[in-house]
Order: sequence, then C-alpha cells, then structure tokens
Amino acid sequence: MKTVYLHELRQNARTAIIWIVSLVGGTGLYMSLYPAFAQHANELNKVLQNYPPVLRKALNINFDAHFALASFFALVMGFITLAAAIQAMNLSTAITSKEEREKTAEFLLSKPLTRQSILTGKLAAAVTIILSTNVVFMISMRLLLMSISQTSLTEPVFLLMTGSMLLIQIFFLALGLLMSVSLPKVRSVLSVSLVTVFGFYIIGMLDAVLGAKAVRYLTPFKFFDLIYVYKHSSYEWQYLIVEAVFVIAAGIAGYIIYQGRDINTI
Amino acid sequence: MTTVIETKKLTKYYGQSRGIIDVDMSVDEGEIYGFIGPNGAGKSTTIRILLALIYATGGTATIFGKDVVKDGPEIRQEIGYLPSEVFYYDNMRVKELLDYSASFYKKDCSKRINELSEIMDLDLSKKIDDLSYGNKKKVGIVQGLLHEPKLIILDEPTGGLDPLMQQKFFDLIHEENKKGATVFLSSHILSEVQRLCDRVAIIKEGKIIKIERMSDLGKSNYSQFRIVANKPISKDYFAIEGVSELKTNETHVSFLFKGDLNMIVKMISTLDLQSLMVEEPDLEDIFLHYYQ
Repeated sequence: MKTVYLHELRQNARTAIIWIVSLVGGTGLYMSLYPAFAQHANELNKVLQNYPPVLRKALNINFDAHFALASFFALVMGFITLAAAIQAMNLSTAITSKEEREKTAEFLLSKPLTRQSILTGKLAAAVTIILSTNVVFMISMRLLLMSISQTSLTEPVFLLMTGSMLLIQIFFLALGLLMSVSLPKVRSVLSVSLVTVFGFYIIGMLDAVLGAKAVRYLTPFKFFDLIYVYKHSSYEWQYLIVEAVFVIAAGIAGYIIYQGRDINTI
Repeated sequence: MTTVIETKKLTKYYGQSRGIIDVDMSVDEGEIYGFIGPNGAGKSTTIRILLALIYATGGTATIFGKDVVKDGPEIRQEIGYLPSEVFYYDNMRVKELLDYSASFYKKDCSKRINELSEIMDLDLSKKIDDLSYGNKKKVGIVQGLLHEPKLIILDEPTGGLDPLMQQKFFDLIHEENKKGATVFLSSHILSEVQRLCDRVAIIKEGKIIKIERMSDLGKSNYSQFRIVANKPISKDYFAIEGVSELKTNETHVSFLFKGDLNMIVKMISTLDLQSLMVEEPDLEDIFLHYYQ
C-alpha cells in the first residue's frame, strides 16, 4: 500500500503542482482587482443592479455587503471552486480507470496486493494532493488578503470560507472514485470530469426551475453559502450532513464495487 | 507429488459470451505445463482467473492448495507473471519500474534484477516510453522473474522477441524450472510448447479437449499417409473409421490414420501406386485435427 501511495504521488506530482499554481495564481489575479472594485463600489453597484436577477444570482453577487472584502472574496471563491472541483474530479476519476485504460492494471494487480490496499494507496495519494493544494491555497490567500486590505477576515471566517473549497473537492473526490470503479470504460478522464462538474455547476444555476431549496441539496456548489458563513461564522449543518452521507456512501460503494468486479485488461 | 495449480469445472462467462467452460486442470510441482489453443480459445481468461484479475462464474481454482481469490495476495507472492502484451508506466525508467515491482515482494531482489537484465541485455537507465516492443517484453520478463517465484505463468511470452532472445528466454525458464519452479506456459505456437513442456492441455472454444504428456503426443498412434497412385482414387475410398484429415486430389491422397495398420495396408495394396509415404505426423497436424 505504501509503495502504491508513493508511486501515485510521484505519478501525479507534476500535475498537482500545475493545479496548485493555477488555483493560487487565478485567485490572486481576481483578488488583485479588489482595490479597484472597492474604490468604485458605488458606481459598480448601480451598474450591477441593472443586471437581470437570474444572472446576479448565478454569479453569486450579493449587494448587502457592498463590496466588502468578504463578499468579493466569496464571489471569487465561486469561480475558483469550480476549477478546484475539476482538479479533484480528475484525480479520482483516474484512480482505477487510468491504469485500466493504459493497461498497466494487469501489472499492478498481478502483484501480491489486495484490491483494497491498491485502492487505499491510490485514494490516500489523491487525498494528500487535495490537502496539500488546500494548505498552500489557504496560506497564500491569507497572505494575499492581509496585503490588500487592512480590515481582513477573522481567522475562523477565513478558514471556513476557504475550507468550503476543500469540502467541495472531497465531494467530487468521492464521486469520481465511484465513477472510476463503476463505469465500464473511461476513455477520457477529462471529458468525464468536465461534464460532471459543469453538470453540477449548471444545476446550481437552475434554482428558478428546480426551486431554490431543492437546488441547495442537489449540488455541492450550493452547500456552502459563503455570505452565510461570513455572517454566522459557521456552515449550515444540514448540507454538511448531506455531504458526509454522500461521501461515506460513495466511498463504501466504491470499495465494494472494485473488490467484486473484473479488471479490464484487454 | 504436490499439485501447484488445480482447477475444477472452472467456468467464466462475460455476460452472455463464453470465456471458458468446465476447465479441469492439475499442474504438478516442478513441471512445465503447456496450455495451447488458438486465439480466443480461453487461454488468457484462464490465466486471469488464476491471478484473480477476473472472477470465475463457476467452479474453483486453487494455487499451492489455496483459493485464488481469497488467498490471492499471499499466492501472488510466489507467482511471476508475464502477460502476452506488456504495458508499463511510460514516464518511468526501467530501473524505477523494476524497483517498484520488487517493492511488493518480501525479499531483496536487487541482485536478481541485475543478473536478469544482464542476461536479457536490458538497459536499466532507459525510459519505458523509449523502449521498442521487444525491449518492453524484456522488462516484462525481468519483472516476472526478479523475485524468484515458485510458479511462473507465461501468456504467449515470445511475441516481439527475436530468435536469439527467445532462446535466451527459454534457457532462463529452463534454468528456473531446474531450480524447482513450476511453469505454466500458454501459447498458440506449437514449436514453443514442444520445446519446453512436459505436459500439454489443449483448449478449444473454452473447453479442454485433451491433456497429454508431450512425449505421448509425439509418439502417438497416428500415422501420416501420403499416397500417389497412377490412377485417380475415388474420394471416399479411404473414408473409413480411423482416418482423419483425409485429402483427396485425383491421384494424390493424404490422411492421418489411427487403428489397425494391416487393414489400411491391405486397402493400399489394391491400388496401383506411384509412391507411398508413411510417417509420424508432426504435432501441427495433430492439433489441426483437434481444432476442426
């Protein structure tokens, strides 16, 4: 298990670094616009008020906070979590399917390893990469936010807001694991993960059709309302439970399915 | 003698389509066991069940007396496997891959890695991606043997190897066998099996149709007759019991015969012969006979 874990880390290291740099860089780029926004907040507010409400909702723009740092950061996090979800989904969708598509599964599974330990080694590597991504992300964001605004976010609020990215990634990690072991053949990890992640993102925009309440339970992108987090310094527990139940169920199902199925070798 | 591999009524269906049906085999310790059949007969299916890459839909399979699924990881400590087509992580170097492979076994394999790569003339510093197919196959051979397994499973091993390497490879297998390793060799190339094996199981459309000692197969009771007569011979003249592979072309007849030689010689004696050849058939002919 340990060697599989280290092997997986090595195999994924380069991609992981690119993701971390892009996520931090992307957020940094957005956040660097904040001082400009803050200066012209009033004018911008007027412009944005003319946007259709649907679009305003979709973009997660909240007027009450008047372009406070938290509100702006929440807006940026909305975009960044979409990318972060793709990172997590890519990692876990590839978890077993990659070796089967590239036909190295026959090599690995003919070694004296249980399937459980193979999956655990690979999953542990994916979790390690996601955790490292979030640690680097949190530290850089903390430094960045402190440098652009005097009235920075409090420690707990900041951790909860950035932590939402980790929780969304864990959701997609579990979903990708399930898909990786249960889809008969994943030809392209990227297309599967893009379709899935954007699917969930679009569900999040459909509150007019599906009902605002229903949507919040349906997509992880709506589990964490960052303005609520900012105001209450906490997550809404019911969505945390939904996520926990899903992650545990998908994880268990993933292990059971992988244990019981034939490995595609041809 | 201890049995290394034993299958009883081993069956595999992929959905509706046939993999193998009721395969009964028993491979003894120290023997080189051939498993021969045309492509798609079920050779790889059987091997993949033995390695628990896929699960049987019926029957049982044991290796070293243990269940291949339940005790799979423990069994595989002592199995070396060379698949018919080899695929490895392209971005790794040969040395890294072999070390990765060795890391799964409870012994130090570094010395054996060096020995084997020297025999197989393998450059350890190259990237897998830069290797030719034949060289990848060599990597496969080394990773399959580096832990000195008690059971070596080879699935059509020689594809992609040049004749010289094939010879080296067979020598290597022979050597491992002499040291006590049991070898299970699947192939569709008869000469390969003929060269190496003690016993052979013939599989056709998922079913074992014959298991025989190689020596018995070689000196089987079959005789190959080739006759050229001066006058055309009727097509069904030799269509009697014991005759197979009958080919008649005007004055030329050839067939395999198993049975009372006196009778067939009497039949031949009534013909106006130009030439007559009776020989031991080569295995190729016998197998063709089984396959039809």
